[in-house]
Amino acid sequence: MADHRDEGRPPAPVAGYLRRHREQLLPVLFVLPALAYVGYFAFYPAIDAVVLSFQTPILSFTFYNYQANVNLGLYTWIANTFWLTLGALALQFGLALGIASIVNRNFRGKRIFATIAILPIGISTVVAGYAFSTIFPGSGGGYAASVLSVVGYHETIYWLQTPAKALLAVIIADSWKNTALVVIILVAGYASIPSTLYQAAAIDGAGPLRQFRYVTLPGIRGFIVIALLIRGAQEFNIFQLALEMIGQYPQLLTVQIYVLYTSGEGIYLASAVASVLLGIVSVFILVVLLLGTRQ
Amino acid sequence: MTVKLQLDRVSKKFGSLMVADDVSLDVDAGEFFVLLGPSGEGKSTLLRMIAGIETPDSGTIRIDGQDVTDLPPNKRNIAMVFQNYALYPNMNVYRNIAFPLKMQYFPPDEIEPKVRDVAKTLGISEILDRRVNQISGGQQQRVALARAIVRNPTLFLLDEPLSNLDARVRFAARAELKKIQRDLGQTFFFVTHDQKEAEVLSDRTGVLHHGVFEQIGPFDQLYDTPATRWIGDFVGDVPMNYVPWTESGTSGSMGFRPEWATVSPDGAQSATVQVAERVGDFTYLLCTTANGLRVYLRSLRSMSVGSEVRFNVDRHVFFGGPKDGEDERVSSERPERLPPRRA
Amino acid sequence: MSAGPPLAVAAGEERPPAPRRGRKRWTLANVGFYAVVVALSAALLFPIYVIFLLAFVPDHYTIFSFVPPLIPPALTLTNLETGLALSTAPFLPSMYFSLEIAFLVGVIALAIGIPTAYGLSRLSRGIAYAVTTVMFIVNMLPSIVIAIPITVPFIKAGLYGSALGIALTQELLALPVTVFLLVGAFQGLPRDLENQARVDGAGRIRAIFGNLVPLIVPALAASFLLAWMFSWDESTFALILYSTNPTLPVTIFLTVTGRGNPLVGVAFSFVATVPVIILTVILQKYLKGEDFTVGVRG
Ligand SMILES: Nc1ncnc2c1ncn2[C@@H]1O[C@H](COP(=O)(O)OP(=O)(O)O)[C@@H](O)[C@H]1O
Ligand SMILES: [Mg+2]
Repeated sequence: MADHRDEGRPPAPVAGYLRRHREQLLPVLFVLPALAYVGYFAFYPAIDAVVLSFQTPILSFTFYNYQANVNLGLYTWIANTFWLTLGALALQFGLALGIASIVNRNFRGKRIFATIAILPIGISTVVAGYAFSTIFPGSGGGYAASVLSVVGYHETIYWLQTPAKALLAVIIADSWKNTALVVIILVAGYASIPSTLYQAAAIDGAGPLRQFRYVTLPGIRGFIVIALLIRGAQEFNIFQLALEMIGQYPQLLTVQIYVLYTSGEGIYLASAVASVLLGIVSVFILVVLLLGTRQ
Repeated sequence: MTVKLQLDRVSKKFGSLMVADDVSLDVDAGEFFVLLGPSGEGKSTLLRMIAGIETPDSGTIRIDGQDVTDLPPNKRNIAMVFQNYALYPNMNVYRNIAFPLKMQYFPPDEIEPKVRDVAKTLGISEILDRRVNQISGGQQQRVALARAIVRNPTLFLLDEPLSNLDARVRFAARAELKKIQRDLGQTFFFVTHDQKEAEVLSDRTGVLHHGVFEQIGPFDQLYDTPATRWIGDFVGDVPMNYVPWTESGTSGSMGFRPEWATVSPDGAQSATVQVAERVGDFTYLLCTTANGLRVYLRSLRSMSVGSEVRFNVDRHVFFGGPKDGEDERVSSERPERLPPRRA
Repeated sequence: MSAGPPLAVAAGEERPPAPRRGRKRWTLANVGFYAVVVALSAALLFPIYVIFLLAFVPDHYTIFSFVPPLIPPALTLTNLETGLALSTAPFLPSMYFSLEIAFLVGVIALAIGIPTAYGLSRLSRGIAYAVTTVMFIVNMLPSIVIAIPITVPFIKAGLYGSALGIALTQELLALPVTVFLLVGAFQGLPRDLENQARVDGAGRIRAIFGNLVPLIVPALAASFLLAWMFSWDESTFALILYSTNPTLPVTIFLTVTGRGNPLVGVAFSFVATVPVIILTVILQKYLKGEDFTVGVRG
């Protein structure tokens, strides 16, 4: 067999590389269409928005769009968006932790409760938005008043009277619609914790609260980070619900992008606000990832 | 004998882990070759390279003299049985066995008799309509084997096909596998970490360690004349015994198996019994010698812990060099009569 | 595959009950627990009840009442009938348009998602992690930011206002989740099934689509329906990119914020929503939290 031996030499580097990774070729080819798709339909328009934000119909490079938006109240829009996000995240995570730990228990009626908890996902955002604008109408009264009068509160609350009240209405509506997603993720987190850990903690003398602090929380940390990323980004991006319930009072970044865009030559102004939103979302993603993956 | 399978300087690395280091091997047509080694030594990887599922970094693989190194698995005309059998869960037993034939575009009326035939040979005719998750582990193994046999391949690759079976079923399946291979007269390349399987099944066994074949040969040869200390330790129920030894002017150690030594009151060597275990007719003794070496011995008489045991070494193999250095065996001494091996 | 624990409902059943719960008795703590469960359920159901009231109660008892009654004094089908009146209401054409788009979104999700998920399940961890992270980021980009710059190339390509155009943008929401779901499904299959099929004589493509894909049909159905639901609900891209024919959510939006009786829109959409609600309940067990987390856990 000695006459065959020469062919066994290692092949040339490039050919050798291709040969070694032959099995990887098809998987790579299979992933390319998705990358091309998101490249063209997501990243290219996002970059385009940034490019447009530094242009006007007559100028190829300018800061005018940003300056004009600052004069229009950009900082207030940012603050409103920020408070809305903070409030919605706080409410959703508080609710979701509660619902998830209920769903994690065994009790009669658990299936029914889990189904009820997930139902809002099936309600169209537009319809939910309209329902909540009849619950919290700017003109006062509404179904919120109906409920409050049952418990003996009869004052009239004008929900769009102050930015705080309007944002609260949107926060409640949005949390109603989207807490289920957080619950879904947290339940997966709870399920990933081996029950022996709780037994060990109980034997070590930890009560329910300290079990939550030292077993549950560290165990679901990664899941919380994911949920925070998904929901946080979606809160910054909240549009339809806010447009429908509160319109421009108070203004959010997304709604302002839409308003500017639909007002004539506003695509450049809209792009500046869009770029700001893009920047905020990017920073948010980075911060959560950095904080969440520390340790 | 014609060469069925030839590995020619095949190398494969995973990152910095060398799983095959310039491996060469010829397997003859009709041979039952067993690739033996502890888990993680790259046995499956070598088998997968022969199947075409993994690609060697360098080297050539030939089947029937044809270079198949760059051929995909479906062009190699080989059959493979995976450790977990990889039965198609969405097909019943019949369709599982028929699948390779379907892939070769056999017409349905030719497929049916072939499937029924092989099912009959393997005694699974009754379960052809069952779903594969409704049959026992032993039956699954037969279905996997039937699927391999039905296509009449040129080479059978089997990756630990018995290791998922219960001890009892495994024993029967092992014997049957050998018979099937004899009846078919085909080449089997069989991977296992179980030396008992290698002993019972193989015409030749190759032991893979650190990416190279430490030794290739009939199993008895591995047991009686291990090429290295590592083989001596790996093959056999207990590691080989070593005592310092000088032979033809070279200092090294003498290796011997428990049954190569005779325990008797007038033995030349002595040791102290640490553990005594009765297995069948023999008492196995774990002893330490005066200079602190561990020695496994075997005695027909029962001995008590702490007592002194004297023994003679009737035959041994010699390993030159210090214990943890280059441990090539330079000579061996073979008695006329082999002592009975193991209880 | 339905291999994992069906989400919310079954996760607790898969494990032994937590140690501190004893036999159920009507202790004070138990009553308190059920009180919380009932209160939460009521709060979660309340908006759906409101939608029902808006849809089936005469408007002087709902939007034209300052503090509307919680118990309906009368029921009516007028709102719904007006919504279905072909000659006057745009709802049926919108619904058809929405169905068309949602179907496209589901199909494209599978067409791109199956190969991508297979590829990711076979690539090295590092590359797979990078690609899933990219998909994850796509999911977090603001729709409104993307929708505006994309109008110009859409107009040029003739996609503006078309079902395909809107579907291709809505796919940005559906595809990442589809990919996460299907990667999990492919990873759940024994790796050797594909190898076995290839050794048995199937080419690689044939092994993937003939042997693996049939095994993840439940996950494919779940992804299709999920993508379908995302599209059915989506209104940002749909609002910016429609030309003459709006989708159902946009029509509802335009109706409730603009002219006419908004209750018509609500009544119609409530009826149109019922199948989606049922779908949600069915899909519940496929909505696995793990699927949303592959992006970061790698
Ligand atoms: N695809 C792979 N990528 C990286 N390392 C691998 C891969 N496949 C196997 N290995 C590693 O190579 C070594 C040999 O694996 P394997 O061939 O399965 O050994 P065996 O079958 O002898 O138990 C193991 O350490 C294993 O972890
Ligand atoms: Mg192996």
